[in-house]
Amino acid sequence: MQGVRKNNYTKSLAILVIVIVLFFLPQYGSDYAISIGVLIFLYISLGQMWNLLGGYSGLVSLGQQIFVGIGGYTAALVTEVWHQSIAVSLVVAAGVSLVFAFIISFPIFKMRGVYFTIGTWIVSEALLVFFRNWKFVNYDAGYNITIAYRIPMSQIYHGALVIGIGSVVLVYLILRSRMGLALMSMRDNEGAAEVRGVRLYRTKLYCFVISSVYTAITGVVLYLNIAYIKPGAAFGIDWTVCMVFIVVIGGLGTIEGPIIGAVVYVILRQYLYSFPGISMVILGAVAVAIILLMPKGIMGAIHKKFGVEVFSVRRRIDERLEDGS
Amino acid sequence: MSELLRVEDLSIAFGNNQVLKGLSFEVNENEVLGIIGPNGAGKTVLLNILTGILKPDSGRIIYQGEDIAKTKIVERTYMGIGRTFQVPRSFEGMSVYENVMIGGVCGRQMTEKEAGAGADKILAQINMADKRDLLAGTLGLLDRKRLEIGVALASKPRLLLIDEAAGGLTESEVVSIIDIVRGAKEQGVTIIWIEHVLQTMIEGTDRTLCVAEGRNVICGNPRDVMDSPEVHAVYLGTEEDYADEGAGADNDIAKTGTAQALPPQDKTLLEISGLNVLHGDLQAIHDVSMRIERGHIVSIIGANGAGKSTLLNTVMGIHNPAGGTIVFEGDDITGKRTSAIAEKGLAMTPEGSRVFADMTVTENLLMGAYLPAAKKAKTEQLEKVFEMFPVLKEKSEQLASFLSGGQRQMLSIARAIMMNPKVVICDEISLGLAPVVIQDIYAKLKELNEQGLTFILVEQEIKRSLRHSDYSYVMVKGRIVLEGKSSELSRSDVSDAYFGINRFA
Amino acid sequence: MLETLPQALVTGVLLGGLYAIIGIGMSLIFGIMKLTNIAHGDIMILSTFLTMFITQNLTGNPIIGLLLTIVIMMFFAVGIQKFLINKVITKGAEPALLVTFGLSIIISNALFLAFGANTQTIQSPLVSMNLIRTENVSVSMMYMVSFLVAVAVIVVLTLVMNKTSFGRAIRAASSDTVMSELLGVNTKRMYVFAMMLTVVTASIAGMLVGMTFPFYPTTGTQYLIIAFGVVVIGGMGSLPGTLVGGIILGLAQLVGANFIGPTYQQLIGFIVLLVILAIRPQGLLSKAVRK
Repeated sequence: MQGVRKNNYTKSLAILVIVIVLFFLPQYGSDYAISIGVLIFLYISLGQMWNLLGGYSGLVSLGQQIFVGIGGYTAALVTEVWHQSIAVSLVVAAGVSLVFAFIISFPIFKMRGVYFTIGTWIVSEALLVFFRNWKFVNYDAGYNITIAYRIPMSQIYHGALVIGIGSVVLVYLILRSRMGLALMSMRDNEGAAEVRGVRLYRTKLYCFVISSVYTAITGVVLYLNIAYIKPGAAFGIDWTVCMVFIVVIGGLGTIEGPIIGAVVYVILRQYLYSFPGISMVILGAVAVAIILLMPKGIMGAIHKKFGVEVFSVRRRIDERLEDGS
Repeated sequence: MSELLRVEDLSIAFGNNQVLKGLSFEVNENEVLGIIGPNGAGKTVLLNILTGILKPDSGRIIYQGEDIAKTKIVERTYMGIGRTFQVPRSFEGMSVYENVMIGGVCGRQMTEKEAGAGADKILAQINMADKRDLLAGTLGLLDRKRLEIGVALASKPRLLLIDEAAGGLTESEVVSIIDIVRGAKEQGVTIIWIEHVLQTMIEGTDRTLCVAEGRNVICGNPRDVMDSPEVHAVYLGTEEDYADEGAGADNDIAKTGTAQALPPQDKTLLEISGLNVLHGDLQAIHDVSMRIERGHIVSIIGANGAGKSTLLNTVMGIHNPAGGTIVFEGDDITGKRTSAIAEKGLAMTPEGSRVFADMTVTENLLMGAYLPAAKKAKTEQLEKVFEMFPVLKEKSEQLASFLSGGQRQMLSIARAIMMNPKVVICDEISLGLAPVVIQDIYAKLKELNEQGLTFILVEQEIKRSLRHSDYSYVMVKGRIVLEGKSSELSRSDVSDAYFGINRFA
Repeated sequence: MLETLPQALVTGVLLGGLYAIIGIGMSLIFGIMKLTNIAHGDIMILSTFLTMFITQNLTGNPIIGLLLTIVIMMFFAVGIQKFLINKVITKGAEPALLVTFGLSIIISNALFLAFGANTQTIQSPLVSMNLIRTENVSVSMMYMVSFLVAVAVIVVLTLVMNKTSFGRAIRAASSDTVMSELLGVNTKRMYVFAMMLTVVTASIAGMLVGMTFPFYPTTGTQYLIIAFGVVVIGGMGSLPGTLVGGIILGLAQLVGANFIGPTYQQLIGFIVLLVILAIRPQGLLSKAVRK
């Protein structure tokens, strides 16, 4: 047992070191590296939240861009039009997305399986059309988010870092909680879970709301990074493409998956930047190939071959020893 | 002893099939009630009704004094009704420990700590403490069955419903299951145990109930029930059932075996050698070898879970064997695609007739003539089939969903005949049918056999199988334990083998 | 606004025909393979682009363009069914859905690469013609032709399904895969045929769409939603239902736009669809009762 305990301490220490190193990146890294870092952390967050829904609860949503858009527009309206701080926009984004998630959950959760999937997509397309025609958000012209120019890049970077790491921590905590047990059982066998006493509807709803709110918060920082917003891009399917890609490539239903997926995605996008248009085709082709060949993603393949798990949510004997029980 | 559960006049039908017909029984506190009955008698349906997955058409379910017919599934779990599933439904990606925790955390709203402590106790009870951290997906069959009971126990049920926990296990494994159930009883749990492995009734239950044709046939002390004429009739068939059958003709086949003249050359139509089939981790078929001769009627007899359907499905390419060969007319058809095997001349009527419900009778029959060889003779075959089964001609333009169980079975057979096959494999065609209807069908089969068609019949009922076939195989737990010319096998030998009494294992 | 209602009704019904033929392919695939093909809209637009390209550069005649497109698309169909979908369909609903999603991304971006973001149309003399022209109502020739073609396609397909041995086999395969195999039906090959049929109907729809509305590489998405709407309203897997679904959707859009404003045409369609999905997802015409 001693050996196992030591292993865990080493693992935690290593992670802590990595986080600290990353935190201080703005001091020694190039601008390019910092901007890549921002993207990676924000995409990790998007991926973790999509994974929570699609990988653990079995809710494949093609409409999470709704919340990215809500987050982005909140940032734009709060800072540009009402001249409040970014902190305020984060709070407002959380609030608005919470309410919206609850409201659409009523019709959306009546839809099962593929109906749910397409239903989420329809809601996002409807929102897109709505925003394009809404005076309140400046129709199709959108906004320049000028506050983004007035804050240093390192602030955005640190914001992204916190959100990215926060998403991993959040998912980890959820999965280690009682809701996590329920989620994992639903992922493995919904019918049996119900008979064992799992409240399916309630669990899925909580999951959906948490995922959506956090996605909205991520959306705020995403749009601070981009610095201008229009309906077409904010509510575009591209965000979901990115989320699906990250999770599928990295490994559906694992915590490490979205991290790996985000890194792969950002690097691939940067590399293919010089070939516009082809990049998405290749991205799509890679995703399809991975689904066919490695259905559990990169992490799944690693886990199968080496039995390695970085963020294990298993409740094991060694961990209980650490509690002193 | 006070009553914990009372079921009154429970009835439910699926389409035209009346599965439960006014079933009534009670269960007393802290007793183990065993339920036995032939396949199709409605036992799993009963469990599904008790847990709330199905709603009965009529009848009452009184649990702890209240009628719970309208209570939701989740509520019943909170009220203390727990169950295991026939095919264990563990959460494959979670560890044994976590699986058991779910029962406590969600079934009884415990905190993680409480559920964890409870889980440890249960793991000790089911003897799996050493397998705590293994993923449920990697477990073998016995462990899965034990885990299944453990998860159910974790929600601290007052009433535990066990669905066939002993199926597919060896003698000693069954003993360990019986021990676990006894242990649960000692803790005060009331248990209803549905089983096919009949010895568990005697050793594991306080009272035994036999359900057949949707009704309570007999209930009482396990040994008395097992020895009763009612139970024997249910499983083995009585003399009265066959009183009307043309006395001379059928007896001739069974006794003298002269009704068919075997063609002199190339007698073997289908040869199975050393077949081994796995169902996940469970070995469903062990080293089975059979030879089916042209023009014969061969019967395969065995209780539920003996592996009969698995064997047939493997022959037809629905399962792939782990080892062994299947040769038909000299061609190796092992592991080939089902449609290709059908093309070679093998037809099967699977269990439950499986007619295309949204198509008319005629369309169903025409589907039988899909393959090019059969298509040419389509019209003549259709006429022939209508002559044989006039009721199908009557209903030819009706949707198949409007046919009764017996008529569907006839449609299924007729459809197979339309294929102009060389051999017809019938998987339990008498299931759920009235004796008169069964007689009719068997008479038609005999007619066809006299015209040269080979048959492989799989049945649970011993007497009928022996009576109507030339050669018989008896299967128990995936092995052939007895075979021989039907006329030379005695009913007592076969029933001993069938009930798993160990003269042959 | 009431004066324009008759026009809205007429256009709505006729448009419904076009919508129906867009949705037919999706209904086929769902009914037979139980798969929702997210790439359906993009496959249709792909055929539209092909027809346009062939018509503009090879022949002058869009009909010949359509025929050549159909031939090419059939090869495409065999390819994706055999190498993609048949491989993933046994692995569960999620992977299959995601593969079609990936396919959708590939197709729309490949089109963008090949043709750029410009809006395109397929030229046809029918577009500016009017069949009837009265004071209150004018019936566009193009819309009428689309409607008639849609009805014809649906009738032909329904006949094939109900009267031919092939159609019967497909119905059997979608009803009970194992049983049909036992009767000698090679279900995987049936799926390929089904995909080919789908692609043919999608190509026909694609040409009509290309003549009626402007299109560009990402138009596929909005037609996917229309196809899904049509199929859901009319009942998944019901061929005549697609026509009813199309008409209902078309009417909802046009009548709604008539009273609320033309910019909201799409939005109203979405909302109607969401309502129906929430209340009766098995479709208005379906006899199935949801448990």
